[in-house]
Amino acid sequence: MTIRLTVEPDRCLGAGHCVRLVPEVFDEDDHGTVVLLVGEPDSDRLPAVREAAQLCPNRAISIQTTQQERER
Amino acid sequence: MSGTVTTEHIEQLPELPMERKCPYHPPAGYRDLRERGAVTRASLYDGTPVWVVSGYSAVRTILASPHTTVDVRHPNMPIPVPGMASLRQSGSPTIEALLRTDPPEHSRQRRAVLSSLTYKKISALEPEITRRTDVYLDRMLATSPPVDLLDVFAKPLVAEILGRLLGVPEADIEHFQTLTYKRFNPIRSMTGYLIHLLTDGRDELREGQLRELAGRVAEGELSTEEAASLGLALVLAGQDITVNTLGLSVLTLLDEGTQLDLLRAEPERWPDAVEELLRYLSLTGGTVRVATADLEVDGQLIRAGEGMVLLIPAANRDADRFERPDELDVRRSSRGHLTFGFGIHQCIGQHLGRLELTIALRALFERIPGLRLAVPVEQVPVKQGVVFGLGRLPVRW
Ligand code: HEM
Ligand code: SF4
Repeated sequence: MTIRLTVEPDRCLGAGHCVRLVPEVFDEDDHGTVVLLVGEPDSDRLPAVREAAQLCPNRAISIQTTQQERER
Repeated sequence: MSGTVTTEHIEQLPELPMERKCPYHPPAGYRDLRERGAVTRASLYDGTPVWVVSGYSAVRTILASPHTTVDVRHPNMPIPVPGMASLRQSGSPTIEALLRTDPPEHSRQRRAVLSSLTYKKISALEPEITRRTDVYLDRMLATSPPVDLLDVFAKPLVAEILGRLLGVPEADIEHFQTLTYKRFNPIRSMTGYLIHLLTDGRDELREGQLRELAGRVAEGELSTEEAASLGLALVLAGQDITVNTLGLSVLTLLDEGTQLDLLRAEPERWPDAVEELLRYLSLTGGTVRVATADLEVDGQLIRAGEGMVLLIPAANRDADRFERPDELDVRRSSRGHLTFGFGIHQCIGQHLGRLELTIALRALFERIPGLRLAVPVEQVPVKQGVVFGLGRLPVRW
């Protein structure tokens, strides 16, 4: 499975949940705006990334997953 | 109001505000409201009917909706407690910054004060907050109990940290603390002081948010009044609620000894415990909005122009979102609680609040293992209001 992340800096409020929860995937610049470090993180990051997207107060993070092969 | 024609029987509607009977729990009536419906009707103290929203998902949906306003001048903006009626008339820009401002102006203001409050900037303050916490604990331990934990510890600590974050001159920290908790005309005095710092006192400012705001004033991006009102928003929005959450957390943990034992055995649980205390205690009140378009939430149609009171403490106790919601369980993951709000106004000081609570609570219980109440719990004075809190917290050790 591939995970593809997109962030919308224009929607970001700098609440920082993403960098707090998954610092290996998200960072913030000096103004607190989200910076995506890894656009296609490993699938074991999915639960954490989902939680960050869920906590983001302004829906600035979207996740697309493509199922390449059926999981057993 | 007897002559007014309404389609509702106001006398039958539940009335807001409701008071907390038990300091740890939201008003008992919130549960009855949620049982009537996640989105239902209530009447304000002055008889105005409003929407009252008590379900987790409904509160979250409305807070995230772009079709709402926070403008206090809107005639249908609910006034949740009598004391806030003056807000509408005052027309004072001071209390309207951020919290009472809609986009696009809100986004501009938020950007102007965010840089000192980002997750990484606040995380870097950990050593400083720890050091200041220890100073107040040393001072407290040098006195003889009983003491009021709010007066000797929580209040001065929270104000000192904010003063330093703003860049208040070293020599003025005490003055800043006094102004923060001043009872008479606190807003006017604090505004005057902030304006002084942004103008004549500019050269004395240390590195921090005010110096940055002063820079924006110099560049013509902001007027002095706007800069002062942003500084004031930071001063007013978060300190009282942080102090009260700290005080009530101490009271709760002293009462729930097994939870405290767990934390003593596994101190790495403190950050989760703070998250759970924030959810469980939920001191957030006075969250109001007016719809700017028709909204359908939980099967109810809220029409454009109608006022809503969002009961965040009720949402945080919604069994559809949190298992055993009325139980304090420091081992659970309570992230996703709405104590800091949601949507574009979500608390800008949340990382600071969390870090202060985590450091202060942990240090307090680690350094003073024998900490206990100096009076029976029912004699601890409480304050009802937009933010529920304690009048005093007498402790000994
Ligand atoms: C335990 C501590 C705190 C709690 C529970 C809390 C809660 C909240 C809530 C619920 C909101 C959103 C209100 C709404 O949507 O109507 C908010 C906004 C705000 N808070 Fe906090 N807060 C805390 C600490 C702080 C601190 C320490 C600061 C100061 C640095 C602060 C500054 C602000 C500001 C400026 C806003 C307005 C943000 C905006 O409108 O964009 N808060 N807070
Ligand atoms: S959680 Fe959302 S608003 Fe917060 S920093 Fe990340 S993207 Fe921005």
